Amino acid sequence: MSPKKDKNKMAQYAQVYDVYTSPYQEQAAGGLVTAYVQIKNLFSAPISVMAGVALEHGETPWPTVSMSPDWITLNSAQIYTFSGTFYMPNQNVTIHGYSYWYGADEAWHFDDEKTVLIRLSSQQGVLSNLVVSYGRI
Amino acid sequence: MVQLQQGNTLRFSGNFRHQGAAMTGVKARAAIGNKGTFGFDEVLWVEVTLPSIPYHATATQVNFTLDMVIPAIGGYGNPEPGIYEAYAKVYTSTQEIFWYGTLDDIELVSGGATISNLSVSYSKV
Repeated sequence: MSPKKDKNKMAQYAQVYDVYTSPYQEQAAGGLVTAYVQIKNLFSAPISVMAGVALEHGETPWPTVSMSPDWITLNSAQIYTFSGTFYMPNQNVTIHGYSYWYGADEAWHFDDEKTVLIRLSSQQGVLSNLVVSYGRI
Repeated sequence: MVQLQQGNTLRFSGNFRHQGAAMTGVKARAAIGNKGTFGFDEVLWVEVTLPSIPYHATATQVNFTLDMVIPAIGGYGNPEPGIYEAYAKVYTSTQEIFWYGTLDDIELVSGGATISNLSVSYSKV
């Protein structure tokens, strides 16, 4: 589960610039979805930032999405896009992206978060072209 | 024509295409019987629930196999010997796709022991 945060608080150093998916924000159940989290360095010098993604769709604790890499050092004002994949559950899912920055105290500090809702596509699987052969075995 | 008698196994090997959302509970059914005006009159049938089908962005072939073991032919409660045909379907609660085999292509034959030519004699003892 992601850390709790005051919704009105602005990002301190590692801003979650955007959270989105590819290719659409509507997916069929079982489809492979790529989640992207963009993090921007708001600090005046390079810092290391880390991204996390949790999937909110009823299960607790929220399943997480593995990102590779999940941290990177950014120059001031630089934006990096982290990504990871998951299979669409059989319901709508809120993708919860969040950020950390690495401090001089050698610890990761939770900073910012952003969410995006991915709707379950109403599209059903379609069956077609049945072909059969038979024989005695 | 395929001739079948008790103990034989008739194997149906099929495939269909799937596209879109993952599906569970899809069933495959194959039967032999008579195709008539009002549908297919099944004499013998076999049915399985297929493994879950994952999401496919494009139409993707899914294979399956059904084995039908032939029971006793003829006699009370058993299929009658005769000429039949086959059909198969893959279906869910909302979709059905069909396949029909060649008419009169399957013969069920009685392979069991038979009793005939009763002969009796009698005399005073």
